[in-house]
Amino acid sequence: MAPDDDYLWDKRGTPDPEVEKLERALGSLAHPERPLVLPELPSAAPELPPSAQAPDRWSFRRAWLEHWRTTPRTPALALAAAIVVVIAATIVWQRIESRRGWEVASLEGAPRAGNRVLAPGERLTQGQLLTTDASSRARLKVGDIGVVEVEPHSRVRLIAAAKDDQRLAMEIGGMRAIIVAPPRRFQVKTPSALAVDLGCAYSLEVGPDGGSQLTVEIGWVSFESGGRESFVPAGARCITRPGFAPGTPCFTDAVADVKNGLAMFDFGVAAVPGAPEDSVARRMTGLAMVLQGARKEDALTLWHLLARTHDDERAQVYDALAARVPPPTGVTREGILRGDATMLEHWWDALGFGDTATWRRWRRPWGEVASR
Amino acid sequence: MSDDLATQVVAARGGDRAAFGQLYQRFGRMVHGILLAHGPREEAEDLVQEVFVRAWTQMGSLHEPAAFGGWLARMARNRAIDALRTRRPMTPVDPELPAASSTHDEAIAVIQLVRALPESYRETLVLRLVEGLSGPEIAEMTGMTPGSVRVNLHRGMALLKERMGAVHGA
Repeated sequence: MAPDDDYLWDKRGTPDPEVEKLERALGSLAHPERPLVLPELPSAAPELPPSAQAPDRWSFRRAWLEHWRTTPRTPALALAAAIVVVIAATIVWQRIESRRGWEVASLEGAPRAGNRVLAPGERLTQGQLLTTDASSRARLKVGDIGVVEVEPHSRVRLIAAAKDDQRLAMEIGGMRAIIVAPPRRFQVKTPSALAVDLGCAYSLEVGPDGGSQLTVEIGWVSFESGGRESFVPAGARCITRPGFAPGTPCFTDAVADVKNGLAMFDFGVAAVPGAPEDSVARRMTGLAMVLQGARKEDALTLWHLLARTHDDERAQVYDALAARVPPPTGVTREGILRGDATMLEHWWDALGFGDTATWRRWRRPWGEVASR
Repeated sequence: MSDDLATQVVAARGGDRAAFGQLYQRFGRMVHGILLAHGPREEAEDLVQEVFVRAWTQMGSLHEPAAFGGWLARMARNRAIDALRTRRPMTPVDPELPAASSTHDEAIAVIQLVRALPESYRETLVLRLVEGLSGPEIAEMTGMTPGSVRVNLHRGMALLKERMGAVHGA
């Protein structure tokens, strides 16, 4: 490389005067490094292991013991009464704790909750880890809104079991969920994304590398990570990998070129022999494979690609989608290329998956929707 | 990835605000540069805060500390794209740019030309020319390969020079 390329690359060698001039001109736009203000994290943070939740269980008892230690000595009768109150409170506390969690409806083999083997009728309590081996599986009631079936070779942890907030963290393995509830009442956290139920039945597999595949059987699921969302309808799947936004959803019966193309486009995987080495070229090749192989039904995939592309790429996606599902009145090529959100939603409405109100609704409390 | 970065990421993932603050110091320029490559400066500064707050609340979803830079870069990129969808279109590059009347005007004129470049070039050039990151630093922070960064810088600069020459009749 010429000396000026070295300077452009790592600021060594003979400075390129034109590069230096641009640095001087543009440096005034650099990050001003304002102080960062962080919010407090929610107290029921799912990242905390069960042991970190233990202090909540014991703090009530410690408070009583501290009160006992610091107050003046009481007559024997008052002391006995205090001990009885503490014991009664502990018993009540344990009964309340035991009612939380998900009930085990049925099981095969010997699934474990922590160190003990679960039995039908028992509960997986908040914070507990459920483990299944090669010959075991468990069917759990998710409050009163549905069921989760945990497959063999799985590890799942119950994060929340409240009336309006049912959450699971899936570390590895497979599960199937059937949920009948307002959107967002049930969520499953994987190492690479968050699956948000929008009223559906779906299966979810998490691999050892933290990547996951979500396949929807009925209804819709939103897969979220890194601020990017994928809306996955019945008959479609979505793949995630750690460090990446959720993949572009596609129907399970899409042709191989579409699936392989998405693997290259979304994750830079060399999904076909002879895939380019360069990441940019690989992405472009993957996109071309998707656009060429997409059927009319794959408009779901093409629509999601509009938001994942820019400039020339977006123009190619537009042309491919328009050839399969003509944009409705009011949706223009120029508007889509500049990213007009309203036009994007109108085009979605024309794809036949239901109007945008269906999945916009999940952003609002159920009560607001019901009152409209 | 250096050991201290791994330590910071793990600590921040466990709720250590000071550790996350160090990550902000370390990656703030990268996030700002990515946002600036897509939108106006005023918006970029606000969005930097948004991106880091979102990262703070979603640290638990980061399975691999080594992927932090790429994860954060993608978050910034996605936020920039979302902001683009809701924003009115930016003023298109005018080939008849007036002569810059001040250093700031010149900077705005040039950044508009940079934003008109293909995406893979514009981000890398902004990180290099605006934020002052070297090519190796860009590769390490964003998770891109050094080879890709170097190609983007070289081709992007060539295209930028060509367009600047066309605008100013050089």
